[in-house]
Amino acid sequence: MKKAILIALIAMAASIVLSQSQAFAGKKNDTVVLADVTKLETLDVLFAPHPAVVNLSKYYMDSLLWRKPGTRELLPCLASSWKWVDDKTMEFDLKKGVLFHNGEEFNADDVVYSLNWMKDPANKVQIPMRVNWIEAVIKIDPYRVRIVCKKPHPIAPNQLLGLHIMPKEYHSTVGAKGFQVKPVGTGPYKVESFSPGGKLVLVKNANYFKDSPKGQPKIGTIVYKPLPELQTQIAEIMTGDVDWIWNVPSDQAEQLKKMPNVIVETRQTLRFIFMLMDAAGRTGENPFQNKKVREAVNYTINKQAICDNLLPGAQPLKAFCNPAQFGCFTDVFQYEYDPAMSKKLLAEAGYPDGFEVSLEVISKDLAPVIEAIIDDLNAVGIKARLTWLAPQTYIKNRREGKQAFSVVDWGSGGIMDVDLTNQIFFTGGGYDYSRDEQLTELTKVAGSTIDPEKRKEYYKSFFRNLSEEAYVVPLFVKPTNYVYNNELDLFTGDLEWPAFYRAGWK
Amino acid sequence: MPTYILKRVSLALLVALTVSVTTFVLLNISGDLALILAGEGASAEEVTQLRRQLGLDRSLLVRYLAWLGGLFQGDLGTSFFTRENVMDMIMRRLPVTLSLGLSGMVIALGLSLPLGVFAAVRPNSWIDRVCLSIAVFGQAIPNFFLALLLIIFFGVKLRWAPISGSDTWIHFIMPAAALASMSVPPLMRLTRNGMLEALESDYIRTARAKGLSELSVLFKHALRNAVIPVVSLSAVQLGFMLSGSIIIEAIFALDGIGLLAWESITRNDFPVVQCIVLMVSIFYIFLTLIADLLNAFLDPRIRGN
Repeated sequence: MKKAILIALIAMAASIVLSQSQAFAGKKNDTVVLADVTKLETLDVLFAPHPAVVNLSKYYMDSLLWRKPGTRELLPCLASSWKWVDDKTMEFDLKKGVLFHNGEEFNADDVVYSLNWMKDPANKVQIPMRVNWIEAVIKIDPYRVRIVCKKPHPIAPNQLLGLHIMPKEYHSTVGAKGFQVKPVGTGPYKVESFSPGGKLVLVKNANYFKDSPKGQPKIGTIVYKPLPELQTQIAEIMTGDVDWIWNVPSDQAEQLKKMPNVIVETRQTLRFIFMLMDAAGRTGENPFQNKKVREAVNYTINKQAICDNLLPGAQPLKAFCNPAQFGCFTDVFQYEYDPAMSKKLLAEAGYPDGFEVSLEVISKDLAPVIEAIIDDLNAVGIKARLTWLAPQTYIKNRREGKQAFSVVDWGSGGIMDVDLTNQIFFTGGGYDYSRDEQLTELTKVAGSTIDPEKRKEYYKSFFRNLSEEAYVVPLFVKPTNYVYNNELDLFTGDLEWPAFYRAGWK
Repeated sequence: MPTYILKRVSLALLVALTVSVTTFVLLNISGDLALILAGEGASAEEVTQLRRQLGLDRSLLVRYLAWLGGLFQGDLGTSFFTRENVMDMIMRRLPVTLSLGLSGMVIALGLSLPLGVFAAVRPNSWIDRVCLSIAVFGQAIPNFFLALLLIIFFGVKLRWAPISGSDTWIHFIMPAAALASMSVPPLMRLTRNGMLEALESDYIRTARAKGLSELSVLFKHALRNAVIPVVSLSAVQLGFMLSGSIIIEAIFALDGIGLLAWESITRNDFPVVQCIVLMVSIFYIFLTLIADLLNAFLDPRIRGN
């Protein structure tokens, strides 16, 4: 009896070990497995603007335009060519012979339908500002459309990148809910299976149109696996069950460099970090209304030391913009680390012993950096009280003019142009703590012309003035660490996620 | 017995109603969801528009009554974030949480009952010491740490079990073991103490004197009496497991109720949080009722009272 039980236990253990049927990632199976913390509840970026969905949707959907990775160059994708007809109207010639995954033929009706559907308030897309710049979408002929903006909107082509074209017949049949779990696009990959909250499996679209700027897909299957816990992601990449992860903390990335089967890279993202001060006095009378105090704060932070010791791969910012963005002008006055100058300015401003202020933050991943910033401030007498807030409270305080001093981790809306950020922070809205009429005017005129050279001139003046007035403290471009299978032939020179639809195996 | 059941069910409904009102009020006064959903940079008009779309511009009472009305019609509302039906979201994840919770409970009882009996049969022996050491270890080690150790040892080094997901029953072995580690110590101690008390009773001496086998004495007579407090504690432990262990589900990437609750709380998805809290309270109420009925079955004296 005892022998029988022992044999049964051994057999069970063997069956457990041998019966694992999970598909391993890698070249052998022509399958790439990507992992991220985000659980996908929907595959429609209109309802879930998380980085995971924003990036993955480019695999199964296409837009009129496409940005070449590593550059700001916009290439026609579903369009064959495009131009500005006037400063509010763009005209697109469309490619012929492009098929959606379900066999529907792409044409102007799909473009008109998609964009009109998105901008209809009744459809409740999240983040309406992605589409509320569109006045009208007009079909000229079966393969030509015009998109009219409500006013001159130079970043309109950039915003079109995130507006994917949906098949009219299919979308109007299944509706928004159906499309969210089974989207159909023209992209280089098709959705094979999707379990909301679980895995997404994409397979190569063998009929992808040959003249797409995205190129032809090489890898047979791409699997997205949500793994909320970073340690689990690391364990999976160690076993080879996952091929790519990102946002790995620097200390753990260093450890992973010792593994022979992975590559660890540190790259910049589009996100940048800065400090915002209430120069306009919206929170009431406060020291930041004095320019000397704002300059003092700028001189106080040792950005290079923080980058070198706490944020490997980060670069100090020279101006209030990410250098990758159009319009970012960095030849402006630089506030080099100089605590002695800071104390001098504070004394001249009437604060020889410094002052107390609450510093509002939400980014827990920046905790060591924020502590270093507070140390620097304390060293010159600015006693910053660290106040961690929930995101909604933080945003509410800022919008309602209750935030005197804060650290901002800004994603720029994913737009490779400074216009969106400047419009939000410098045109008199809830986020404007400078209320500087000159900066507001420069932002508005730069955002009202489509002439890139004129815009550059306006932004030159804008960033110079902003730096001189020291309304903000530009800190760093936020880096991230990627860890991936060394058999992948992958271009990693872009911001955020690599374009796996262009990747192959070495 | 029918009167007893009716009384318990009525009380249960009252508790559930109280929980729902308290949860609803606390959730809705905690913050402005429209601000988060509209995104940074949205204008005040866009926030107002979104607030109107989501019905957040109505009074608390109106919103609660609308929710209650929907509940009686089987409509638990729509997620503010995904716009998905809340019932669908929960039902999709319930099987994972039920599988994890029940398998955790099976492992916990499967270990704690035999260990508790062995420890009681040989008090202060090396068996007893080993069992108590297991109890101390289980209580001392945080279950998330144990989970990571299991992943490193069985998942990475030995490759005996998959690290994440819920595709097969094998995927649940490590998470269930990690979850059970919290329950084994108290259940084992309670079993041991109950058995020690039972084994000193007169009826056990009588049973042995009658010539019954030791197995029959232990499991048919002694354990039946010793296990009554274990049943009550098991109900509470199972309720905890079924309400979803956020940490275990996050570490093993199990798409269950616990993780859904955590995500919904962090993004203020009120309708989902409201329903999960209600569901968890109903679990506890139901399990407590089952435990009481089971104890009444095990001990006729309880029925009489």
